[in-house]
Amino acid sequence: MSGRGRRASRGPLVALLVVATIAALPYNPAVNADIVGLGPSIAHPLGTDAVGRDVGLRLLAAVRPLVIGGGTALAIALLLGVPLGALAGARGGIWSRWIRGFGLAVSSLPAIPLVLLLGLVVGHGAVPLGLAWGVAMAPGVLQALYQRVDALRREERLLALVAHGIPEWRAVAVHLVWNNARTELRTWSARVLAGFLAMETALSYLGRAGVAEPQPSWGNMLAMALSAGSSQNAAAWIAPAVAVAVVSAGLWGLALGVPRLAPGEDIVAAPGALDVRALEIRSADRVVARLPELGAPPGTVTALLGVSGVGKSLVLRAIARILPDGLRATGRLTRPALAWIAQDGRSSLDPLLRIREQAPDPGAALARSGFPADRLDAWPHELSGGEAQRAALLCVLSGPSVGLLLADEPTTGLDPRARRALVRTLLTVARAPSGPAVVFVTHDRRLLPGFADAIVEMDGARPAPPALAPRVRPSPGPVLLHAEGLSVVAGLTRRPAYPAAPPILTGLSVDVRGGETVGLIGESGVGKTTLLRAFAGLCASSGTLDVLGVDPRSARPKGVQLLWQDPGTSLDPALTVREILSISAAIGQGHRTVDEALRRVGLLTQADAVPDELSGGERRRVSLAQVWLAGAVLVLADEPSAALDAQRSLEALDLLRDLVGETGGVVIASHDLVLVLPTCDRVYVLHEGRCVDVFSPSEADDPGRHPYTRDLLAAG
Amino acid sequence: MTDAPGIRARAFAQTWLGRLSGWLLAWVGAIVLVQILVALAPGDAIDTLPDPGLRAQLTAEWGLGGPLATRVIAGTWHALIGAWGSSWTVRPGDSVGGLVATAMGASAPMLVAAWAVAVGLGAAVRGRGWGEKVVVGLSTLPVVLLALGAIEGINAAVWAGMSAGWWGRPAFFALPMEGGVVRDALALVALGVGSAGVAAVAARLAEADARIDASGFVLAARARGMTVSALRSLKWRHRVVPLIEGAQAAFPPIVGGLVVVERLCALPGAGDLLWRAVEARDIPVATGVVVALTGTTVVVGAALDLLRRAWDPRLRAEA
Repeated sequence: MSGRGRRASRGPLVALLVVATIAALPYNPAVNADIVGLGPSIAHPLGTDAVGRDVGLRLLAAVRPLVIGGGTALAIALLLGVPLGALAGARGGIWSRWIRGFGLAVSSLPAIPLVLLLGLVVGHGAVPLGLAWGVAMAPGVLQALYQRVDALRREERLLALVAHGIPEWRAVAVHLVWNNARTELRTWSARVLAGFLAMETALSYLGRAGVAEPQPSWGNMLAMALSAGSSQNAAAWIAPAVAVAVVSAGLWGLALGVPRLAPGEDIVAAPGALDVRALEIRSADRVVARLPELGAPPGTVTALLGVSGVGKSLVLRAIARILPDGLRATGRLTRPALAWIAQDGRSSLDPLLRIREQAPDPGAALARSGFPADRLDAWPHELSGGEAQRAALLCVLSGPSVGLLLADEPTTGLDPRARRALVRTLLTVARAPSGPAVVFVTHDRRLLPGFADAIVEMDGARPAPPALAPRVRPSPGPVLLHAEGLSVVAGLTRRPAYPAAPPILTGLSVDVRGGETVGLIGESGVGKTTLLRAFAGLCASSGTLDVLGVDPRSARPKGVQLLWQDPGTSLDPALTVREILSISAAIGQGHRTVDEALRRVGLLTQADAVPDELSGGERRRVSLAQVWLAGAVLVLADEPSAALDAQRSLEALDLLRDLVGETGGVVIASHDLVLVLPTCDRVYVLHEGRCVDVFSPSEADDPGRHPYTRDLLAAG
Repeated sequence: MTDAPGIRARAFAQTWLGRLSGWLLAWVGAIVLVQILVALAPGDAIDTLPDPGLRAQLTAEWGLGGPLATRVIAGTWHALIGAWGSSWTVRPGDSVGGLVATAMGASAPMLVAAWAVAVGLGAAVRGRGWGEKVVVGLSTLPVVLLALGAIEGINAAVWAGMSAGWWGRPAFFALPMEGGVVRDALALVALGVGSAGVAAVAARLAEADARIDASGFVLAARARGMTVSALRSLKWRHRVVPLIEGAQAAFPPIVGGLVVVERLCALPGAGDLLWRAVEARDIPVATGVVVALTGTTVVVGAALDLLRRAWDPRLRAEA
C-alpha cells in the first residue's frame, strides 16, 4: 500500500475503534417504574422511556446489535462476494458465466423477503439478520468485484503481472482486488451496512424478525416511544430517529462518493486566425506545459513536436478550451472556429450513431476524407484505426466550416502505409480552397518533409535520462530461443481452443542467441504480439519451441520477461515506482537493488511517484527497470517505441540492450522497421501469416529483398 | 461487417434467446434456493393443524416426509408448474395461487408507480446542485423512517389544526388506520423515495456523466463550440443505458420496501401477505409470494437487459 493509502486508512480505523468501544459498553436492561417517561435532565440527558429506562444508554447499547449484525452481514457479503467476483473477473469464460449466473439467481430474490424467509431457518436476532442480509448483498459485491477485475483483466494487467513472475493468486488478491478494487470494496461495505441498518430498523420496529425487547435497537426504541403516545418523553423517539438518519446518511455518503470531472478553467479566446502567445498550462502546484508562440494561417499545416511528456496534447486542448479538470491555462489566444480529432479516432465518434448519421450529408467531404463510401453504415466500433481517423475527419469536413483543425497524434497506432495515407489526406484538406489551418501533434519527424509548412518545438522541463556509452556488438552466445515449424493461435491459453481456431502464423523458424537483438516486423494485426506471447507460453502453439532450455507450453521459463506495448500495463497504478520495483526485485531474488535500478534508468527523483504522475517515456523506463530487477535473460518487447518520440524510442531500445547485458537476448516486435533496424542484429518480416524475409541490417538494401520488405523500407 | 444479413439476424436472435434463457435459469435457481431454505426450516407449521387427515394429505402432497433433495425437487416442480397448493394457516384451505395473485394485483400499481417515482426523480434531480443533494439525501433514509416521519408529521399537523379550530376532522385522520388517497400517496412517496432507488439512479447517472464528459466525442463537440442545449441532447442519448441500469438497480430494493410500507400503512398486498405468512409459518403462502416477487424481479430485469442491448450497438456486438 502506498504512503498516501496508509495515511488515508487511519480515519476509518479510528471510527471503527470508537464504534467498537460504544458497542462494548455494559448495559443493564432493568426497568424502573419510578422514572417512567421523564424528560431530559442531568441524570438522564435524553430522559427515560415508557418503562423507565435511560434513553441515552439504550441509544448507545443499540449500537451493539448493529455492530454484531452489520459485521456479520459485511463478513458474509465480502467472504462470498469478493472471492467469487474476483474469480469470475480473473478467469472470464465459463467460470464467469456460471458464477455470475449464481449471483443473478440470488439477487433476483428481493432482499427483505429473502431475509424473512431465511429467518424461518436461522431464527431471529442480530446475527441471523446479519447472516441473511450478508447472503442477500453478496451478489452485489460479487458483481462489483467482477466488473472491476474483469476490466483490469481485459487491460491485460493480470497477464502482465503473471508474466512478470508474480503468482496468479497473489496478482489477483493483492494487485487487482486490494490495490485496485478498494473503491468498490469501500462502496459496497458502506451499502451493506446502510442496508442492514435500514432493514434492522424496519424489522425491529415492525416487531418480527428484528431485535426484540428487552435488547435495545433503534427500531424497537422507535416502536415503543411512538406507541406510548405524545404524553411521553419526545426525546425517546427523536433520538433513535436522528441516530438512524445520521448513520444512514453517513454510510450512504461513503457509498455514493463518485468522481466528478468538471471542465477546467481556461483562457478567454478572441476570434481570428490562430495566434497563441505566452501560453502556460498549470496544475495546482506547477507549470505542466509552456508554449511561447504559435501561429497558423488558413491552409497551412503546422506540426507540434516535443519529447514525450512535454505537454503537446495539453496545448491543443488549451487551444480547444477542453483542458482536463485541475488544469488552467494563461496567456493570449486568438482562434477561429475549430474542430478537434482525438488520438484514437474511434473516441472522436459518437459510439451510438452510424457514420452516416454523424455525417448526414457527406458529399464532397467523402472523397476529401478518403473514407470509403461503402462503410457509411458501419458503427464506430466496427472500424479499423485508420478508418476511424478518416471517419472523424469526414465528420469534421461534412459539418459547419472551420478555420482550424486540431489533430492530437492522429497517426498513433497506424502502420506505416496507413500513416502516410492519413498524412496525405490531412494535407489535401488543408490545401483545398478555403481549407482550414491544420495543427497536429506528432512524435514522428519522418512524417514532416513535404507535409508540414511549419514546425514548432516544445521544450521539456523533465530531466533527460542518462546518456549511454555506444554499444559494441558482442559475438553471439548460446541459443536462448529456438523455434522451428512453429504455428501460433490467437487467444490467451496454452491449449488450443475448442473448436480449434486456425493459426494466424505458420511455419516459423526463429533463433535468438545471447547478446543478440532480433526484430519481428509486420503490419498491425499480422500476429507479432501473439508470437511474442507464444514464446512466453501464454498462447497456444504447435511445433518445436525451446526457450532457455524449456518448452514454455509445459513450464514457465525463468529469465523470460515481457515488455508490454503500453508500459502502464505492467505497473500497478496504486503503488509508487519504488514499491513496484521492490516486487520485481523480490522476483529476481534480490540480486539487484531498487536504488541501482532507479539510478540506471534515471528515475531516482521520481521514486515516490505513482504511474499516473509519469510521462509515457518515464513509464517505459520503469518497465525496463522491472525486467532488469527480475533478472531477465531474454526480453520479449512488444512495440517498445509506441507512443514515444524517435529520440525516446532509441533511448529506450539502447537502455533495454544495456540492461540485458552481453549475454542476454532481446526480441522486438514492431511495425516500424526503420526505427528498430539500427538496433537489431537480425529482422524477421511477417506477412500474410508467415515469415517472408529474414535479413541483417547490412543486407537491407539487397535488391533480392522480398517486395513487402521493400515496401516497408520505402514507407519508413 | 461483411457477414450476410441472415447470419447477423441469427446471431442477434441467438444472443437475445441466450440472454432470456439466462434470466429464466436465474429464476429457476432462485426458486431452488427458496425451496432449500423452506426445506431447512426447523419444525413444521403443518404439525399444528388439528385434522390428521389433512396433515397426512399435505405431507404426501409436499413430500414433507422425504429427504431434503426430494423435498427441494418436489417444491421446485410444484412452483414451476404453478401447483402451489393451499394455504396452511393464513387462510387455511384457500388456493395459494389465488391468494398470491390477488395480493400481487393489489401491490402491482404501487410497485410500478413507486418505481417510476424513483427513476423519474433520480433522473430529474441529477445535476441540479442542492436539489439533487436534498432528494438523494432523503432517498438514503430508511423507508421505515421516512414513512413514520410522514405519518406522524401529517397526523400532528392535522391534529394541531383541529385543536386550533382551523378545520374539522378530515376523512383520512388518523393515519395509517384510515384509508384513502392521502394514505396511498404517502405510501407511494415513501416507497419510491425511501428505498434508495433515487440514490441508485442518480449515482449511476453521475458516474456516467463523468465518463461521458471525458469522452473524445464530447470533447470534440465542445471544441467545435457546440451550444449547451445541443450538448445536453447529445449527452442524453448516452445517459439512456446508465438510466436503464439505474432502473434495474432500483427495482429490487423497492420490492423489498413493499413489505415495510404495506405493513406500516396497513395496505393489503404481497408484502403484507408475506409478513403474515412468515408470522404464521404458512410455508406454501410465503414460498408463493417470494416466487412471485422473484418472478417479477426477473421479468423486469430481463426486459431492461434486452432494452439496454437494443439501445447500444456495442452491447449488441458483444456476442
